[in-house]
Parts: sequence; C-alpha cells; structure tokens
Amino acid sequence: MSPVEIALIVLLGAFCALDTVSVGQVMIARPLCSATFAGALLGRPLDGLVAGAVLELIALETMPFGASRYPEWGSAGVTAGTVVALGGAERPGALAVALFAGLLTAALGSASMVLHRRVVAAAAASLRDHVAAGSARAVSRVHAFGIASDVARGIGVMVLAMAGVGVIAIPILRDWRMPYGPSVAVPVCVAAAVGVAALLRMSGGTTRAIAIATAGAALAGALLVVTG
Amino acid sequence: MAIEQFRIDDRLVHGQVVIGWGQPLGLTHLVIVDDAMVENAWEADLYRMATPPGMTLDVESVASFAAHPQPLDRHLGAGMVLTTNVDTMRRLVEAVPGIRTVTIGGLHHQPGRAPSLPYVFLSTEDIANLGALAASGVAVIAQDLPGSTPVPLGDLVAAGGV
Amino acid sequence: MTAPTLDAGPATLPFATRARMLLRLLTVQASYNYESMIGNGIAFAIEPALRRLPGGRGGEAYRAALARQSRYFNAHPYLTSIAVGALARAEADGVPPEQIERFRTACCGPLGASGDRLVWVSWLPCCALVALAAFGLGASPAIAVLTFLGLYNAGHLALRFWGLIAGWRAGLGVAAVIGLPLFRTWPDRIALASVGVAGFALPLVMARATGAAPVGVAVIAALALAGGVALHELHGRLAGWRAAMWLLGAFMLAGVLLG
Repeated sequence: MSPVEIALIVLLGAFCALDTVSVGQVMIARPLCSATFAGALLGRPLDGLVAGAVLELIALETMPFGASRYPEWGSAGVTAGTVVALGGAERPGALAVALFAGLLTAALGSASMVLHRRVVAAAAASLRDHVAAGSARAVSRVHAFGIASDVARGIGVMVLAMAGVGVIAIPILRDWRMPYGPSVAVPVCVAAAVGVAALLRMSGGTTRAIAIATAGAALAGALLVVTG
Repeated sequence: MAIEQFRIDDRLVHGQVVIGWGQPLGLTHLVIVDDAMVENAWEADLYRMATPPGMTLDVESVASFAAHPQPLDRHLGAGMVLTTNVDTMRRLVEAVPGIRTVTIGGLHHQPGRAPSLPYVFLSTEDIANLGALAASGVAVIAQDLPGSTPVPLGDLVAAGGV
Repeated sequence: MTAPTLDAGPATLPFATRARMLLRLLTVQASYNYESMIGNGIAFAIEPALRRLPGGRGGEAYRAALARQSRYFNAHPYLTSIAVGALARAEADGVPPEQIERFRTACCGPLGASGDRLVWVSWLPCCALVALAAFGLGASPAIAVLTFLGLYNAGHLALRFWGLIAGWRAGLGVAAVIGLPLFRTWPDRIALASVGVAGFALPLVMARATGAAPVGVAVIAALALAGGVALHELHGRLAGWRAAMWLLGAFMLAGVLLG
C-alpha cells in the first residue's frame, strides 16, 4: 500500500466510524458497505464485498442499546476490506485473516467509544454552567466537540488497525499454509453460526419462524442445485 | 410466574429490558413498582404502549405489590419487576420477603450522583440504601445486559469513589 | 396529572424550522456521553423551534427551555424525532416545566423500546439480509451496497421525518403514536419476513463466499446451524462476535502451522 492509499483508508475508516453513532447513522458503517468501500478504494470492490458480506452475518447480532458496549463496525469493515483486497480473496487465508483483523478492530473500536464518551462528558462538564443557563453557543460547542472527538477516535483506531495489518496480518497471510477450501469454509461457517443465533433470537425461534426459514433455505438449495 | 429479575432501571421499559433480557429469558410479564406512576395513568399508558405484544405490564405501588405479591401467579412464563430508583427497591425488599438478588440495570447521571460504571451513577443516599439491602442478605449486582459481566456492590462503590 | 390530547392547539412549525430540526436530528448523538447521554443533542435539535418562543432567540423563555432540554435524555436515535417534535410542541404551548420534565423522563424508555424493536431488531437486519440475498444471487458490489443503503434509508429517513411531524401533532400525548401498529405489530412481522429472507440468503452467501458445490454448502450450513443453536442456547451470556474472534484467532494459528 502506498502512503496515499493508507491515508485514504484511514480517512474512510474514520468517516465510517463517525456514521456508527455520531452523524447520520445511514449505515455506511455496516460491514457490507464499509468493507466494499475499502476494497473499491484499493481496486478490488468484489473482494471487499465478499469480506463485508461474511462480516455482516456477525454484525446481525449487534444491538446498540443505550450505554452498553458493542462492536464498532465502521472501522472494522474498512480493515477487513483492506486486508482481503491486499491479499486477494482467491488467496487461501485472506478471508479468514480479514475477518479476524476486522473483529479485532471492532473490539478496539468498542473500547475507544467508551473513552470517547468519557472525553465528551468531561467537555460537557466544563461547559455545564453555560448549558444550564440556556446558552445555545455552549450547546453547539459541546456538539461540535463530540464530532471532532469521534473523528479523532476513528482516525486513531484506523491508524492502529493499519499498523496491525502491516505487522501482523500481512505476515500471517504470507506464511499461510492451509489449502483454500477449509481456509474459506471455516470463517464463513463461524460467521454464519453467529448470524443463525442472531436470527433465532430475533424471531424467538418459533415453529412458524423455523418453517419460514426452512422454506427460504429449500428455495435457495433448489436454486443452487439447478444452477450447479 | 417466576420472577427472573428485580431490576433498578431509571428508564424502566426499554430495549435492554424487552429485547436484551426479554428474548433470552422469555419474559412474558413486567411489573413496574412506582407509587407516583400509579397516580399518573398517562405515564403508565406510555409504558404499556412500549411493551411488545406477547408481554404484559402491570403498574403497582409498593403497598399494593406487597399486599398481594402473588397475583403474578396468574401469569405463565417469566417476569421482571422494575423500579426507577434504589429507594423504591429498598422499600419493596423490606415489604416483600424472599427477594434474594437485586440487579442495577441503569441509574444515570443526576446532580449528586458519581459514576461507578458507564450505566451506573450513585449518590451517597443510593449507596446507603444499597448497603442496607446488602446488610439484609440481598445480593446486589450491576448488569445491564445478559452478556455483560455482573459487578458486585463492593466493586461499584469502590469504582464510584463516593 | 393528565396528558394533552392529539392536535391540541393552533401552534405551527414552519417548513424552514422543521428542515433545520431534521438536519440537526441527523447528529442527535454527536455529543453522546455517559452523563447526559443525548440530552445535549436534543437541545441542539430542538433549538430552532425554541426561537419562536415569546422573547425570541436568547429570551428568557428560550434560555429556560434550552437548559431544560439539554438535561439527561436517552432513547432510540431515530425516534428522538418524535420526542423533539412533542417537546417543541409542549414548549410552544406553554406546558408547565415540571410536566415537561416528567414527560421527558417518562418517554425515554418507551421511545427506546419501540425504536429498538422496529429498527435494530427488525428493519436493519431485514435490509441487510435482502442485500445479502442480492450478493448471494450474484449482484455486483454497487448493486449490493445500493440495495442495502437505498432500502434501509428509505425507511430510516421517512421515520425521522414522520416522527418529527407526529411528535409535534401529538404533543405530550405521544402514547397514541407509540401505540400505532408501526411500533406494535410491524416489528414482529418484519422480523418474521427477515427470517424467510435469511433462510434464502444464507446458503447463497455461503456458496458465493466459498465457491463450494451444493453438497459443501449443505455441510457448512449444517455446522453453522448447530453452532448457531448452541450459541442461542447460551441466552446471550456469550457475545457471538467475541466467540467468533477467538475461534478465528485459533484458526489463524492453525492456518499458519498446519498445511
């Protein structure tokens, strides 16, 4: 990766991280989008989409409730898309390493959100008297600080993630020995298992839900058999 | 009905309760114990509207819950009892024997409260009330969601530095 | 204490004010923190409406209302539009501050529960699964991403826009809004439809991501089903993404050491 590409990936990750909570929440942060954008930026959008689709299965589980901690998928998707685009999805291990890098980044992003929220609380506390006096300027300043802090958080997470990609992910890819088949089947299976658990929770696992899912799966199965 | 949790949560009925705990525990019934809400029908209606189909909600005062804590028996499945503050839960525990564990699910910032966890802020009065609960043999923990690590009262107080 | 009824009065909210509030609502969580949560964001979003209070911008009523609205608040971010609309109406109608405070506290949970059920548990997964199905059927990256973003945001933005209007019309009587089928019955229906889409999408995603033959896909699907059921039986005590991270970490070692 060239320095310009690294810089663009870091900025993309920060932009997607900002969408996770602070601005928009139009869901460009979801792995399906963020990983595809990263792949596209590095000239391999389809590889990014493959990693994003598999990571999306895991993200189905996430419920961003209140003050609870949850993974941050914006920077995670960009990291996964970067790794798979660098390795090439056809390369054994690229998908597995991309998912692992994405999940580690999601954990890092999760921890960084806790820190960010504490920093914003401190900033808000410093302006508390002005806000309590009904100053619109103070309200706007707290708000602007929150956005700036989240951008800084996203950049920080992405810089660490890209360092991890260079120091850990690329060497693992270089030394990967396992053949292609299990190298892709295992991560897809793990991700799908998390997705299935999320769907069972979402639907309550009722007989009706299972019947509908089975009908959908039967249709897909028939399609796969017919199309070979 | 088995009461799965006695929960202190200032947001009462929200996503963590109806989905976060509601789905894995199979909750079918919620009871809000709040003396003021019993007098405010519109407020109780607001919470009722937010309760998903398949889950029922009763609003009781401490006295009415203590007078007949067994009406819950008419419900099948699992239930949760919610109070909006520590004081109400302490009075409930004193009035209803047999409550073994109290879970703090969310007590957010107010003037006079210091942070113990991102979702738990405690005042000195809260700590005194929680201490009284613990002294009466009730286990007090903080846990917002099933996947979170339960935090015992001692750690909460130590983290709060109040 | 009684709640005002729907369409209680003649107060109006001009289009330009509504537009400003809507744009600001898109950043309602920008100053999210563990003390006031999105209280500051509520104040930021409602501020354009407060300029119309007696005394205008910077007046006594304006400053008192802004201070009130900046206090602790938390709800689903999209449904804060309902709260902002309702609170703006209450301030415009001169509802007593203590009643506004009580309402503000009371609507946090219900707007959180309703939004979480409708958006996080049903609409978002549904749209993601439709896009995954498109991916499984061979859609290009642009089509898959646009399918997801287009579908999801059609619902998302409509909800925010409608919520502001509905909240303004209802005032403190938002229980009627929360009681609409959109929040009561649609989430379960969307979730059920999502499960059907998931049943269709998952095998296709597995096939396209792995390139495996139908028999191979069936084996992966069976193992994923078993793993998913096992994870589900833990009743949320183990986060799936963390389990996946550790499993894939172990798999990294195997990938490097075994061959």
